Amino acid sequence: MDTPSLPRDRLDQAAIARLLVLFQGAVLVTATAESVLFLTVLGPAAGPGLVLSAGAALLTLVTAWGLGRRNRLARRWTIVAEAGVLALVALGVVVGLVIGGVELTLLGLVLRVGLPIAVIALLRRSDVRAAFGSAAGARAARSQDAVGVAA
Amino acid sequence: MTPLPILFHVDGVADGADLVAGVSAGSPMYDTPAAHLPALLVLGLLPLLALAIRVSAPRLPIAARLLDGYRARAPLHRLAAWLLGATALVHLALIGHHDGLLGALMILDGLLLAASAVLLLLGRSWRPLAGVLLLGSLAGWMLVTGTGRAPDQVSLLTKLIELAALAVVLTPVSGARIRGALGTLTVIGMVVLTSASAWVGAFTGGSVDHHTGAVAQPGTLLPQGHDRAPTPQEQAIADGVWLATVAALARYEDPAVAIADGYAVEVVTGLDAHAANAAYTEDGRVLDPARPENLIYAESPAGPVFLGAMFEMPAGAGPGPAFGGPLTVWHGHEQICFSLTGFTGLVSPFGGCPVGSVTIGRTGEMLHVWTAAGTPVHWGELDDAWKAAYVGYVAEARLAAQGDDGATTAGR
Repeated sequence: MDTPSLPRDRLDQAAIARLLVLFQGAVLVTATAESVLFLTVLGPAAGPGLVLSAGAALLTLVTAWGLGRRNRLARRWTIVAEAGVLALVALGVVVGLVIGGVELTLLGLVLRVGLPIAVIALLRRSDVRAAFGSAAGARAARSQDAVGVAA
Repeated sequence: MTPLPILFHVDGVADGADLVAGVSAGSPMYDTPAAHLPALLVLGLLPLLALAIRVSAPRLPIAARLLDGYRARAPLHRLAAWLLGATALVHLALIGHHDGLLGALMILDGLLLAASAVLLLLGRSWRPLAGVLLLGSLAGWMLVTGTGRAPDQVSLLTKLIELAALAVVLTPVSGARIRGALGTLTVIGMVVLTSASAWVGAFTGGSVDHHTGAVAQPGTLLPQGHDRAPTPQEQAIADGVWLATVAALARYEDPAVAIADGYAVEVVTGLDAHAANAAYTEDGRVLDPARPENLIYAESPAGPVFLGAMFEMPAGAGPGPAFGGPLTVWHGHEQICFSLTGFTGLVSPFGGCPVGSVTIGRTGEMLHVWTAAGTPVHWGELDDAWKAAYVGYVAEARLAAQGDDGATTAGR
């Protein structure tokens, strides 16, 4: 059920952002599972990667949940985190160029560059910002999980 | 490229015509093969197809219905239409690349995925068909890759598109929390399973051995081309270099000597701990039997057991000298992850390292040489089972010798 003050499209743009962040969380869960294997094969050197990946996965999934509830803090945090992901990719490219060359895979480009840019672009839209800023938006999201369109 | 000084001195090496190895290739999992490029190109056709529908809408009733349907849909479902259309086009673009039942299923899958996109745009029930197709397509792909067929980046991108479409299908239309949570868990589970299948396919579809032309496992680069038997000259050169190396490195049976020479033998774990010598890595020498860039030790209850060495080409110096032809196949590494703590893993099928690590795209070439007494292999990869048996034998002998020494001392 949509509210008169919040057109369906407005909510659904945010729903796309939530879905993309959920996807990032799922990929980080995968990275965590991989890190467990790396830890068993490579030893303690892989330990910090496991802890950081698990923490990032948890944080990302919680953020996706917060986006679903149109939480303002979740929106702000997501924008900062996505900018951080882009900055880390840039740093990784610089470090990689210095020590051994960089070969980003196709999916690496899509998920680590394209996806963060898309999420930032969606969450910075003025209409999406308004959906996160109003109590009506939060109510509508909670009651409807922000989709509200029957197949 | 400036030739590097080759510092071993064995008769015949200077006359070898084939001193430079060919181009190396890594695991297909990180590659976008030329044969699958049409699948990427057709993705560019999708906006053109949408434009054609828009332009022809005033004259074609079906185009008008599709356009009206698209405009009436919510953005999330518009996204689903694009995703279903994209994966349908990719499937249809790869007609001819797969034979038999797999080829027929891909055509059928492509047509039905396109049909589900049309149903969505026409406002008909589309979720059941799309859900079954997407789950079926993902499960079929996992079955194929899980049985030893290494995936490539195009097939992984297609699965990523399907996973995103599945996520939309599983997003509840109303505020059904349990259904929403189940949908979220299903999406996470399918992403993890897709990645796991890709790893299994890439590792089981790759070769453990370092042969020319072999399909590389993830993280490894192997020379392309056809494997062949060594010539008598290559055999003689390889044997000569191996004997020179065995003689030069015998003193490193004692780890203290290696430490004194600058090798990092302080911490030895596992069956093939590589102890690097930073000075030798940067000295610009290539394949010097007396100064290999790494020594290889194995962990044992009786202290480190010396197994051999690894020669390493200077970074950016190109392929290593193929002095022994197919007997001495150099390998490299690609898509490996490093952090401040060291080697942390391999780049995942989805293109990322564990958080906190950076990707190293490509290393210099390397060549293992095994000098342990009775080793069945002189160059390349040595079987872990043999290493374990040898290490056990040496450790037992050392411990027994220590026991004898103790008994002798006590007897005095």
